Amino acid sequence: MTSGVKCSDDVVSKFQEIKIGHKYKYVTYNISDDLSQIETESTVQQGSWDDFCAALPPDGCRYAVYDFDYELPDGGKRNKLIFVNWCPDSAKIKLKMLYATSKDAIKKKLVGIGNEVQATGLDELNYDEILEKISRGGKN
Amino acid sequence: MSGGVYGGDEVGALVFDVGSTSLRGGYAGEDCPKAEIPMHVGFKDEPKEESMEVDGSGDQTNKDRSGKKYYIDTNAVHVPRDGMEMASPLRDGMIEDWDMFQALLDHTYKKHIRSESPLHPVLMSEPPWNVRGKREKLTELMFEQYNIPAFFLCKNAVLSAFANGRSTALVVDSGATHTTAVPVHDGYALASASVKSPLAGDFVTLQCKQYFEEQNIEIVPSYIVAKKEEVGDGAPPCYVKKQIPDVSKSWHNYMVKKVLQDFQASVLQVADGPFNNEDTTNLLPLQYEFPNGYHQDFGPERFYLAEGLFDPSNIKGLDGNTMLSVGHVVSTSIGMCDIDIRPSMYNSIIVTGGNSLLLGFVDRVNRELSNKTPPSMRLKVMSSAGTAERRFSSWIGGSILASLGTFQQMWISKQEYEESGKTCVERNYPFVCTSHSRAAIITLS
Repeated sequence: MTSGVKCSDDVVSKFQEIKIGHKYKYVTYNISDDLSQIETESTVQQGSWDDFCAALPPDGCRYAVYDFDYELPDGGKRNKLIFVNWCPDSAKIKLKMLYATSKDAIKKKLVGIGNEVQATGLDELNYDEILEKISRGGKN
Repeated sequence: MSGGVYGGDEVGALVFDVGSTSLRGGYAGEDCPKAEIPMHVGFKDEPKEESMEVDGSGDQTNKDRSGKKYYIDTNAVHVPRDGMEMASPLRDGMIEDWDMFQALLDHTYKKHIRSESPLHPVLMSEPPWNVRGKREKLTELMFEQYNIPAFFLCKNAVLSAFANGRSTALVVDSGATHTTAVPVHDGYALASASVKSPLAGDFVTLQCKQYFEEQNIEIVPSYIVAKKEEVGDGAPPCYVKKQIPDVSKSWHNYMVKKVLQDFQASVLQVADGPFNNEDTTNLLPLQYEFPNGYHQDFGPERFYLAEGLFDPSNIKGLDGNTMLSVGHVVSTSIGMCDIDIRPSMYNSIIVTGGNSLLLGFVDRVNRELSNKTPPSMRLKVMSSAGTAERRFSSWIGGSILASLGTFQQMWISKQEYEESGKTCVERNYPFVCTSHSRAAIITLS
């Protein structure tokens, strides 16, 4: 079920740039102030996972796409995109609701993302756990 | 809706959350329901007789449908009346007695909403195991009888999950009649993987009742007590009885239950771990005074009476029972989910419902589940801190959802209903699909 919030075209074009061109390290999206559509909030070209976590607001919700690089035990380099749904416990209930019900809208536009993380606190964005989840083959 | 799809937040929608203890109703966009009306309704059989509205307290409603006179809402229900019986229109969380349910809605519109039903779209919650026939009947009732402009039905578990910011979660709802665990995946309630157990609020009330019977403590509801005198701890009560009409058994039981529920809320506590009677000597006893003036300290009983929720094996009078404890309800439900979504279920367990407000309930759930969670998965138990948020989480979820301007395109409009009839309710709810078809979708994607 969805709230009916739409995705702006910019969301898709920024996603294409990170997906095909690897132009950014991560992109964050938010829902516009009039609560009608999902927009690109920021694009960042360089940044570690920790920087990314720090950029998430402590009391606001966001969607984000992060370009995740990692190495296999045998030395092969891999690169995957992950989708983060950031809904901290301290956010307002209305925001949480809005982001939870609108997730489907953005998720449908971001074709080709295999990994999704639903986080309500920084403890769920632990680098090692995410790495493990992704390298497992990352279903769901 | 004028002004197009994004016409703004204000559509004046109403939200009704139908629970086994009460009906919550109010305007969408507000942060708590305007009215909480007890689901138990008093009624008298008064066939054909043209009875006038006697008192101005506004407690009576229609008699024309079934020749019954209904008494609705806290004030009306608590007055002793000759021959008034108590009943609830729900059975198993689903609407059974439609006349009574309609009387409840009439009352809500008239006394609490104070507006005309054709002016407001309605969002209503339903239990995940609701059946198609009832869903269609409800749609028919709302459009035909109340003439509402638009309607939406939503699973209460889904609304609770959304209100906690999750579209994927396991919602553990411990209410009055049932404790349920319902997996919600991407906003879809997986009805066939949901698990229900009768170990909930009413069960604890029953335990208390049995305990008092054993202890020979008579529960005297306040309607009988005219005046009471102060007595010593544990001494027999000294009170004067009121002159009351000849009340029915069901009503008396209802009033006794009210007292027990108060006792339950103020005295009981869930122990941190499995409870045994031996090492409880250092537990803090609590004093409780009954309406008739009798009072005593309660020590181990405080924990003992609630323990059945988590350990049904030693419930008295239920030998060899197969009821599931709260911890088992959760693990069974997760076990029935597709293996791919199990980790995300353990990762977001939402505890809600009035019974979960028992002191220590959430901590105990956490502890029970940490023993059951597979080592490869992370456990996270969430619950909102406020009493209102916990009791009304599905109402609040509905309130926010219905107030979103963008949600307006989701409503079933009256026009749509008139074109395709009551079956439109099925088409508009993709989330009634079974977990089998859902699982197929998950595996495909």
